[in-house]
Amino acid sequence: MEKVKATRSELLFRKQQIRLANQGLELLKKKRDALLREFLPIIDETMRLSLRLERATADAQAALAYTEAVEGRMVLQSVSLATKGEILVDITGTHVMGVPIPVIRKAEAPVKTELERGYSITGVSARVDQTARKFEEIIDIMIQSADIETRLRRLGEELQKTNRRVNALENIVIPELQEQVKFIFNALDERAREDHFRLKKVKKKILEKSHRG
Amino acid sequence: MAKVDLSDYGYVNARVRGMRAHLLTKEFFMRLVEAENFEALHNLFDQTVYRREINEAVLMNPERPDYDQALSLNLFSCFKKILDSTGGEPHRLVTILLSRYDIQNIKTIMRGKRGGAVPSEIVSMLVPLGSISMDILQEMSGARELRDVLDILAENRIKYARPLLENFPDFVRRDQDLAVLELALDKFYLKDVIDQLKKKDKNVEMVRQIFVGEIDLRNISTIVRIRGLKLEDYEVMKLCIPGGTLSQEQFLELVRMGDVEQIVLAYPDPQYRRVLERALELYQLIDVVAFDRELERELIRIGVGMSNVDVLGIGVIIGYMSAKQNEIINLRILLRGKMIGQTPEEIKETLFFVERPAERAA
Repeated sequence: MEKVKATRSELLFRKQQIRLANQGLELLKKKRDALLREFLPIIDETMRLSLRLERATADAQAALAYTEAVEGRMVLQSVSLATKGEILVDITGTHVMGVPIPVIRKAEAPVKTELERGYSITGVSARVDQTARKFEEIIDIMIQSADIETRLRRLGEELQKTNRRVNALENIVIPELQEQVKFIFNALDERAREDHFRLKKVKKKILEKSHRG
Repeated sequence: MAKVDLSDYGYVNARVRGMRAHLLTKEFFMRLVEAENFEALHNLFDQTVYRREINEAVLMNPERPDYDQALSLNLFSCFKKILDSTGGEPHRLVTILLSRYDIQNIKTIMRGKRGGAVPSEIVSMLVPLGSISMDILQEMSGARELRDVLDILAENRIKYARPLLENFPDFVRRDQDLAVLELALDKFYLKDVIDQLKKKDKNVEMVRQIFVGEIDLRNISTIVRIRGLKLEDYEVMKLCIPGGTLSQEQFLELVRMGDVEQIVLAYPDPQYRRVLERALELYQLIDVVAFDRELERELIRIGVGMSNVDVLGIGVIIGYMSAKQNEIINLRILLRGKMIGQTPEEIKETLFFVERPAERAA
């Protein structure tokens, strides 16, 4: 326990600190509950997207394997060169319970139409198109996942931080302050008793002196 | 040494019949499907014409042999052998049949340039078939920009340069959309092929039938794929490849129907309608791919069926080429299935198998 001066003003100060800590604790608990309320649906959403991503990836891989088998790798590699491009995303920001969170949105739809893939539809089979679409769908889900996972991570970090603060206040700071108050109170009590005893002794001596005189 | 006359079909067809004897029978194919592991599969391949290429692939990379390349090499060498065994008119017709590889190569180079691929990467995707020499293709692959590729084509007086150069300004205007050049090339190529097949001759007619079938396949595939898109009439008509059984007006009319079922019911040619009806049954399961699949199978079936039309005609060659392509596709499906651990039943379901007429009769 840190050294505390056993004074009445210190006692008042510590009591005020306890009050403040309790208020802080209350606020932090409220923040934690609010964060949890935001966090839980995001977990569900993340799980849903991750399952969707898993399924879409398996589906796209199977389509790719089959298309590669039917069309031949050379044809597929050739087509893939035509589709090379960039995927644009918009990154902005928002605040949830004071937590800054990046918002990731598609700047343009990653799932393109049959006429937007950079090759001529007349020279490429529907099989290749379907495979390309399945991979574009993966990109689409990945962008949604990136947004929701960043949100989840940031909220998770904040939740952890808030939890640590609540625990620190609840288990360390407030009990320590209470200990200190108790210590000061005991010390002051002891001192008052000593004073009282000393006064009694002085009084007794004065009385004895006056009797003798 | 006796000089062989390559300008008639006697010699080449005898060779092709010899090669046809090496095509895998359905029974043997099923033994491949049922093979328990890759060792058993390799042992079976040792009994086939793929022995050399497969063994080389295994030697090059025992952990992960490049079966795809092995099969492609076998296919190319077979087709090259046929081309080298012909002269005169048969040579002209086989060259036309193989001209699709010229288009594939030009597209690969253009795509490579557009996608920023290095020359060696582009060369590795080229097919050593077709009438454009590998020297020219390599020079094109090494060109700095797409425009230089087209200039090399023009300098070498290759006819495909014309539609590409004509449409180059449009390509630049449309944010370098390669689809503009590819569409122009496809249309020019197929028109050129049909123009070369105008002679009244049963062999020319057979080759023509194959290309008309291909144009129809591409047009039908385009119809079902673009039916939901918001396009102006002129944009739709631009995607129609002329030379098939569909007119541009019919093409537009079918696209405007929007609904796949209606398109199938309204399709003017009853022979195709039957094929499309089969595709419609699969449509719910595998989407528009069903139409490509059934039409491709039909085209292979038509090609394979030409084998027995005339023993001294191009049909024998077309039949072999179709059957060989069909076999390669199925082997690739089989090998990929084995690699990803599919069961024989699962592999059988995905096979593209078109039975040869002799097998069907049996």
